Amino acid sequence: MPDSSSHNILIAIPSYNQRVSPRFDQAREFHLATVDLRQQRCLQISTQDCSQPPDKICTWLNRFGVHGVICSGIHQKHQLQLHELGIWLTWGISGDIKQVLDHWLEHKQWGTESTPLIPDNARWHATCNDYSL
Amino acid sequence: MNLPQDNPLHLQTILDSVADGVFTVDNELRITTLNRAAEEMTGFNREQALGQPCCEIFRTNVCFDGCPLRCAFASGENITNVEVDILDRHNHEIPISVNASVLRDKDGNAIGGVETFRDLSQLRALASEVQGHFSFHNMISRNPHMQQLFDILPDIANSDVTVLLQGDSGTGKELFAQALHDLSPREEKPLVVINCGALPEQLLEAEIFGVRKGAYTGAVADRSGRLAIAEGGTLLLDEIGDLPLPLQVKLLRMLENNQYQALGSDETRRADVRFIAASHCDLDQLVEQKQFRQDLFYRLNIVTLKIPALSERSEDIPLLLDMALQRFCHKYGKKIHRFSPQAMEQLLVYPYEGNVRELLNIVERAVILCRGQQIDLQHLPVTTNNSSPATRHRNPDRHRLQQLLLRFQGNRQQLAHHLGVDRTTLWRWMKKHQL
Repeated sequence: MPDSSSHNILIAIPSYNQRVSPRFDQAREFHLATVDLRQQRCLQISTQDCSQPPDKICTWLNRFGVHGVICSGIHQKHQLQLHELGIWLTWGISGDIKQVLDHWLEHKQWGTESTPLIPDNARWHATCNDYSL
Repeated sequence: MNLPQDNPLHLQTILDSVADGVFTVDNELRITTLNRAAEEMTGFNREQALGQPCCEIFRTNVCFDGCPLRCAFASGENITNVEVDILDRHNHEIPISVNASVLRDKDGNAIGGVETFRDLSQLRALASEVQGHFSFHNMISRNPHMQQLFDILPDIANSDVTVLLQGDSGTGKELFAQALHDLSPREEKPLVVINCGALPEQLLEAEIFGVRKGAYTGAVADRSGRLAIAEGGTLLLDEIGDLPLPLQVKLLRMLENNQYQALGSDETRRADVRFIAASHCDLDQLVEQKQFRQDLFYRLNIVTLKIPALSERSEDIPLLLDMALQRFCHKYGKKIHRFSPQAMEQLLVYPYEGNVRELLNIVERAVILCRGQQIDLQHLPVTTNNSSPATRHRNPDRHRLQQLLLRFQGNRQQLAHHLGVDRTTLWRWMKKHQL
């Protein structure tokens, strides 16, 4: 469940085998991480099985109160759906879920201030793949 | 002797000269080789891809459910021509056709796999262009008669003339009415539809012309009819052949001087409405049987568009199946790429007595039931299996043979199979009809 504190946010990561799922729309499981932005630490991680059809995943995540999504590949139509729901997005990230979250907390300029524009995310795609988490 | 493929450097050069994408994986599905075409299609370079799980680089829609490489490993067989979509590094979806095989050492042990794939974007774009060429306002047909109707529809729509649409149930009369309305100067105003066969006479009269309070038991307030709702727009009188005779008189008056009275009212109103009538029965015959007024028939019969049954335009069946598959995949969020050859053959020979509507229902049902990437026989209703060779046409005439050739896209083997004859017999028939 999302934390009511304004310093806590809920981040969703599509996953498989404890790694970031290669495609948002094909994920059958999401890691939901409650993150304390002030203390820069992850308070809680849970997993949710996802049996939603691809076009319903964004609204399904919204029902959990998700603030942001970190993922690898994501179709542009789903980027727009998240944007319309006010959920920020960082795409192009692959690797182990825990490492991805640690990395995110360390460099958390990834779209936590406001919903980033889609082109802005593209650079993170390059950066994160270069790091190969 | 050292062969070029034995030298890793030469092998990479050979792979890079291939136009199709090629990559190899180890037994854990981690990428061990990647050629230049694969780099270009995925957007990931060799350094980024080598050693990574292939699903994280190729990002297909089947990585976790029907991966061709996993299937090849599981069955030991080559997997060929599986159509999937990949998401490239920039999140563009690219349709590809995939082949996958197991790589074995000299003792026959599996040491990895190889996948080759071809970009289908251009083919898909071409198919979509062809479909666009034959489509018109949510309708699609390559049939000459339908093309002729599409051709004259804008001119008819532009006039205010009354149109009579005749065609069997499910042929798309309402789509034609919608196109006539959309292409007319009345497009900003409503298109109102009323089914003349759906209500008893008094209720139908009230529904079309409106009703004054107290006109009959239950008429507790003044209520506008469909005519008033359609003001400035178009009124489609569906199944006009079912209109009761007393109402035919009232409608005739309306058509002749644009005046009408609501049920229970003496007040004469004027209407600015364009009329389209539709019927599945032959109004000529109803006139002969005194069930339809001749004067109304002549008043309606200014422009009559006869919409052919699907059996008369069987060359459209493949187009309609493709269109329906795309439409319902989009509706239900599925990625089904095709019909299996067996399912397609059954769908091509099915008689579709319910016309396009029945075809759409069959495909919608199949899309809902299908969990994989192609619609198979088990996804089709049992009724489609009733078109046995005994019911098929034998020794067809020239026109029928021409239609069948179009339907089977010139594939004589499939056509001969459908007709239950060998290819020589089919060839003899074609020769006889100079086809």
